[in-house]
Amino acid sequence: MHPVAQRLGVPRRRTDRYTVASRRATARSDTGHGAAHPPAALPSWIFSPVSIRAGQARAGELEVARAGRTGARMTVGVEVGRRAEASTATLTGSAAQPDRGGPARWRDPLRTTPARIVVHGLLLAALLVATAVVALRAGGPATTLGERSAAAAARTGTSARQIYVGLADADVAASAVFLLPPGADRMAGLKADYQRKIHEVEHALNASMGAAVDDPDRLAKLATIAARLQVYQRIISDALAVAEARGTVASQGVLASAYAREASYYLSTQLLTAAQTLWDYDTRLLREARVDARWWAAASLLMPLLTLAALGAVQWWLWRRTRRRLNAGLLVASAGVAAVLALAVASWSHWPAADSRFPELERAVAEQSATQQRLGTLLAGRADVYLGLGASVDPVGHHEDFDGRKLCDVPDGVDCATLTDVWTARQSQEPDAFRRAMDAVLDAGPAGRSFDAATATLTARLDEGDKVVAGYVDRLPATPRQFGGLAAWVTLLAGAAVVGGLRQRLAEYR
Amino acid sequence: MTTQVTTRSAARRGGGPVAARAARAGVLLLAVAACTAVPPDSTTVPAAAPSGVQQIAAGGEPANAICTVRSSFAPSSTPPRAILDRAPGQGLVAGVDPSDATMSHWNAVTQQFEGFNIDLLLAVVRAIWPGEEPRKRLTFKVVPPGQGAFEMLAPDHPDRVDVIATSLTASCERAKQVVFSNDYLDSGQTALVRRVDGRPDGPPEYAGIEQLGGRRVCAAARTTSLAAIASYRTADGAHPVPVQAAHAIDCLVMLRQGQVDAVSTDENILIGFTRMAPDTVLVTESPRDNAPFCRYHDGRRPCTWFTDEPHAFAFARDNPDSVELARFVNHVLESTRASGAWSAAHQQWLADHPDRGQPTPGPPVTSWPPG
Repeated sequence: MHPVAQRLGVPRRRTDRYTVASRRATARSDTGHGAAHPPAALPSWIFSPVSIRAGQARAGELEVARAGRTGARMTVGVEVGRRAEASTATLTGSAAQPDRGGPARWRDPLRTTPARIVVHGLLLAALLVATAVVALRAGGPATTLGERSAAAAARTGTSARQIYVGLADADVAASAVFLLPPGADRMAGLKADYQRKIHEVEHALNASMGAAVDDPDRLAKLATIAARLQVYQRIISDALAVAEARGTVASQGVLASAYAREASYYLSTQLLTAAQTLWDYDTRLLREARVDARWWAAASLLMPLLTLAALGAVQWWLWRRTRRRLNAGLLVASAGVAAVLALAVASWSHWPAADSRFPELERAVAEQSATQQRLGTLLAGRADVYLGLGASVDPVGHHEDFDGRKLCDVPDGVDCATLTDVWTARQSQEPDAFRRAMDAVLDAGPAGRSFDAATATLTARLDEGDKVVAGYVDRLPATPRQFGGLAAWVTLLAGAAVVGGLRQRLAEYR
Repeated sequence: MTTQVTTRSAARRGGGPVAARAARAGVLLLAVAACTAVPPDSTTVPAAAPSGVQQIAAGGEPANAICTVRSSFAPSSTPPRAILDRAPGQGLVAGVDPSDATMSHWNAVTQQFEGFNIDLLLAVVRAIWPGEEPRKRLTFKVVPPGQGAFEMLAPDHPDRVDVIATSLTASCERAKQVVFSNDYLDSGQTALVRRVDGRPDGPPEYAGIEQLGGRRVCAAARTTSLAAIASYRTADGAHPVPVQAAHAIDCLVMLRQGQVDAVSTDENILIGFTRMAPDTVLVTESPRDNAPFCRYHDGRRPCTWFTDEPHAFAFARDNPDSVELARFVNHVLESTRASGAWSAAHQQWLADHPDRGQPTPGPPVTSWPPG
């Protein structure tokens, strides 16, 4: 083996040519006959050996290719044998030139070709992993865009709405119970009404929990509502016990109403917020499906393209350094990634149609949300009226709460003129004022009818909204078969091909 | 807890034996899923509490430093013309607290306000418009407890009232904002606690205020009761933990729910609470060094008061008509002493309240606030 090649540690088979990269134009070809040394400030890695091909270089001459910015080549004449050793010494910068930092200090192992191959391999591996992850994760968003998944989300959203509205309705019924003095004729009917509405909420909760056994997050939210509903029921139960205690003093209604006020506050601050969270959770897929899908669709298509580009670049880089030979491993990997790209296109084939139809579904869901909260506000306002008229210690506060809900003089509100005498009934000097106010706010009275009408309007709007949502869901395209798993496997195989191809290339250097 | 929900629901749905078995299986499945595998979102279910409840910092002016007022303007038998001339149906407007079982509350059965304060107000109205049905000349408006009601005395307030009758303690600090009538009831602040095990004859969980150091003690916001609790220091130097609620009745709810350890306010109010909630009881042990606060205590049982609480009606300051009304109310209070109306009302609503009878007013003042 040629001593120069031996000292430089290059492979035996191709050992008579140096390719010297230079970043500096000052590393010129006339640096001296037989003394191809770098300029004083030029690091030694610029003169790193790449390949020396036996039999190709002329005797007494080393061809030094300047890669770098200049792209020029320089030819340095050396004598074979003795002069070559001298030249090698010069190349390392240790003999003819003063030591300006030392070769060990300047040498950057990452810029050697084997190291570059490894770095490129790692880069390709990272891209392939990212491609596989995107392929796997994109299945969910792609499925959500489809009709079946959207329909399921719409169904769970409807059940969440039933829970929300049912809770608000139950609170109205509970507040009505404490409107009446203990032992009143209508008390039993109002209590039965409260129990019925609580059972409706429990039924909706049970049904939702049964349908959510494979969704731990949703199940946890439902369990939260169920636990808080227990607290609410316990307060109402305590209130009823106070109101119906044997030998009750006349002021007992004050304490019972204080419990009812606390229960109503708990319902509005804890239960309804939990129910709204559930609804938000259930409809999140629908509301955010389009935005999510856009991102994932772009990622699903761009990641394989990016990986393909990287594979091509590495192939080109190796091709230039291996006598125009194509790396078989990289070729196989490229084919695999192309297949992954095709699978992504197939998985997202429904996206153009879904993307154009989803906005109207999102709008319909948003309208349902607004209507649901409006109905909740209406029912809370009715509870305010009952609590304010009843034995509550804070009728002014209930009146202010009611006013804050802005239910008067709006299209889907109530006729607040029917409530004028209700708010002042307890302070009225007329002995019959309170009874007339109770009659007014309960079902058959004008205020009660006004609330019922507004409730019916909003409920009908919600029902109609459900149909609209269902119609938009039906118009969505079906989700095509998802190939995320297959794409991940193909990507894995492509990764194996990359590793194999680059290992072979590395082995050629050793 | 979820188990109970699902069990009730399954029982309600009913159905045949197969349905029942299916329901039971479902209940079991859901119970296991909801109670073990999947806990609720939050690790603890938030406890219920009335709105406006918050714990406040202990400390401040000691209770014995609260200056009280037992004097007012000299009585006048002439009702204020501005009120006397009101048209029928537009009589006296009184601000009341509807949560006092003894002093003023809404009776849903009779559908009217009643209580010790209400009886005295009715006496005032009878004196202004003799021969008329007093309730037709008396309008009640619910006002917040403590000095929170004072703003409703302002002439431009939409729910303006002529007089506040909410078991108000006549303090020197409040006298800077309102005019007080003569003292019409002497009381003192004490504490209400749960009975052991909730038994109707059970002893109190805490014998006295001295045992409430470090314990949560609730009082209505913006009241002298809350300030007294915040500043109280037990013999070993501990403070009770003051918790404020919007209304004293909210404190009673929280006491029964175990969220506070005691309710503290005037004994005349707490007596009403014990009637509403027999599972609660007044503390029985006297605080240390409370003799100055027991001058108006009748001594029929140990005095547990740790403040002096003269009660008076409040009127707007800097308003001649209001001052005239205060003088007229002072006149009516004196007349109820002679007529026995005060004693009758006391017997009906405050029979077990340990005061020494109708208070004797201090020397009349000519300017306000009294020096």
